[in-house]
Amino acid sequence: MSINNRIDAQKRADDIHIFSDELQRLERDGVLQLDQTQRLAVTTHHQTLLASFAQSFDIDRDSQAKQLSLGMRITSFLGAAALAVSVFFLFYQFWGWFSTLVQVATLIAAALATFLTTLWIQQKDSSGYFAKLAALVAFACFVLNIVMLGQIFNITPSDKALLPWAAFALLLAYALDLRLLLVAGLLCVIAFVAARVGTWSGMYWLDFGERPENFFPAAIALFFVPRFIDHRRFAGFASPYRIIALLALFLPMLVLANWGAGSYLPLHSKTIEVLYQILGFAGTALAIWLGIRLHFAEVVNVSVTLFVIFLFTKMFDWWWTLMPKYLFFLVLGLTALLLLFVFRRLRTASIVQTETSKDIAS
Amino acid sequence: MMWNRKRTVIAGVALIMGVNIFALAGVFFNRSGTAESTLKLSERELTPPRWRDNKEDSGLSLKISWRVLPPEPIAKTAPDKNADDYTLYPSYSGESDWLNESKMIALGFDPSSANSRLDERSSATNQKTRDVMLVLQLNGSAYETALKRAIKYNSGSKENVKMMINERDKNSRLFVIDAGLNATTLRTAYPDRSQYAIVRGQIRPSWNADNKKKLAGVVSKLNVDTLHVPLKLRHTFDGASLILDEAPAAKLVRYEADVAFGQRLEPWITAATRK
Repeated sequence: MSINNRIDAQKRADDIHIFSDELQRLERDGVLQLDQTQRLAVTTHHQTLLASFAQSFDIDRDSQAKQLSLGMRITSFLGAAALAVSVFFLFYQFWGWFSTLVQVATLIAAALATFLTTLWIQQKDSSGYFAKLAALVAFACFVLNIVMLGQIFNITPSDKALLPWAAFALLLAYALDLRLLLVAGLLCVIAFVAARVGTWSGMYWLDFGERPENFFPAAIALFFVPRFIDHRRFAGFASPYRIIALLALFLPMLVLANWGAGSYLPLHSKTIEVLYQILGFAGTALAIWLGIRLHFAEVVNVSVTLFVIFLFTKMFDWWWTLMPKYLFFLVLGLTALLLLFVFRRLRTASIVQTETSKDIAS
Repeated sequence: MMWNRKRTVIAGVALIMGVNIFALAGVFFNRSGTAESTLKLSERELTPPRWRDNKEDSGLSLKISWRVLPPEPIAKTAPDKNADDYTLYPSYSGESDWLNESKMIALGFDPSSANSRLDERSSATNQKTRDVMLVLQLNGSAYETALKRAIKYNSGSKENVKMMINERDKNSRLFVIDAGLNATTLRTAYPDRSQYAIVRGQIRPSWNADNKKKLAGVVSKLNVDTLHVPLKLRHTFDGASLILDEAPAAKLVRYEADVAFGQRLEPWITAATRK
């Protein structure tokens, strides 16, 4: 297994710890006993590996470090968000006192400077927390750059601004291994494609949200991107594509399942609502099956959640006014239990199938 | 192709500079040559935002205050207090006689779908807002009509008198009077570039108040309805009042600004003076 990034390094370190714990158990139970030479070789090898990972990727070497890491990640995100917002307010506080030339120069300089600073920080910071913070600020500066240019020169708002934002976010995401900016980039892509589809249908681009079907083409395309573009060098990057694709597909369906008037289809609203309810249930069930078959855990989890939401909103429609509230929530709870039994059976069947495949292979 | 740090730097810098150059090139093109139109707008048509006291924003933007002339049938209602008051309210967006079914068809709206969805809700909301070209008229026939109505339907009540005075001294004289899909065609119909400006805006479908099966339209907004004031012109607008409804006409800060509309129909302030 080649180690290209922090996630791979952390996984390898965790495997080493698990191996050490299991080896101790086996020795205690008398199943396996390494001699002194073998033990020394394994320990030295593992310690060398862990040291190199710590130096190159700043991994968590134990559970305490892991807990602190989580705290650092949350702090990094909150700090980045606060700094990004402060950039906006800082500019708004002073920009009125600058001439147009100074305003434009400041905007461009801020975007360039924060971008270059981010790359410099990435070289110095092996943990990635500070680089993530700087990257978010750089993204905020670039967004501010375009927004303020529009305001200064009274430029007509256009969906085309979403493209460079997406490109910048994706550039930073792939260069610095940042999934948060990957998500930001993908959201910009979805918004742009939805706005374009809306424009082609004749509506004003900013109203694209009023026709939820505008999101479908982008959602379907995004789901298949990891299939056609190899993401093995970028651990954890394929999942956001699938998660966002599923949300962009099924959340609009959920809206249409309750608001048929928002559809392009020339049918009665009630018919459209029933159609999308059926599509929602069938689609999420299909996605669950697909996720299990292809071992996409995130697809299964998101699809299960969406399936349950579809089910609960439908049950609300049917029974909220008909039943006493205690009975309604009791039925919801029992339905959840039933679903748990179903998923447990699916899980057991999946495990059996996997073990059968391994037996055949061996 | 191996991606490395050097390529990242080049790509990022090229993206930032490229986008800025593209945007500024568009601005330069818009402001090049002779302006498509230039209107002299006063404090009645260019109003400061209501949150002017916001200390977090040092910039100054003025809102283009535009109106439509509402349909005459409201004014034809038998004189009673409610009808008069309704007639005298300045209509800042809404329906107008010129935005009838034939105009909506010319703009690309489909009248047949107005009846295709048999819902309780408005069937015209089946179609969404469209981007069109709008014709703005400054201090022309539309404003004269609005002023005549204010005088004609002034019942003498304190409210009506105030509304009549507002119409004469404070309300915007900038009216949307026509719409189309082609700026050249509209300019041929309205050649006076000092009284008529062609801008991009939005129209949404509605239904005729008298006949719910007939398609009508509502001018909902201009695409660019806020103008940034550059630093060199800021002093002209110092002290401009926010709350025009409450400020007496005599206490208003009066100013006049030349607003040019360029090749892309985007506006900017070229000059401004205090009156």
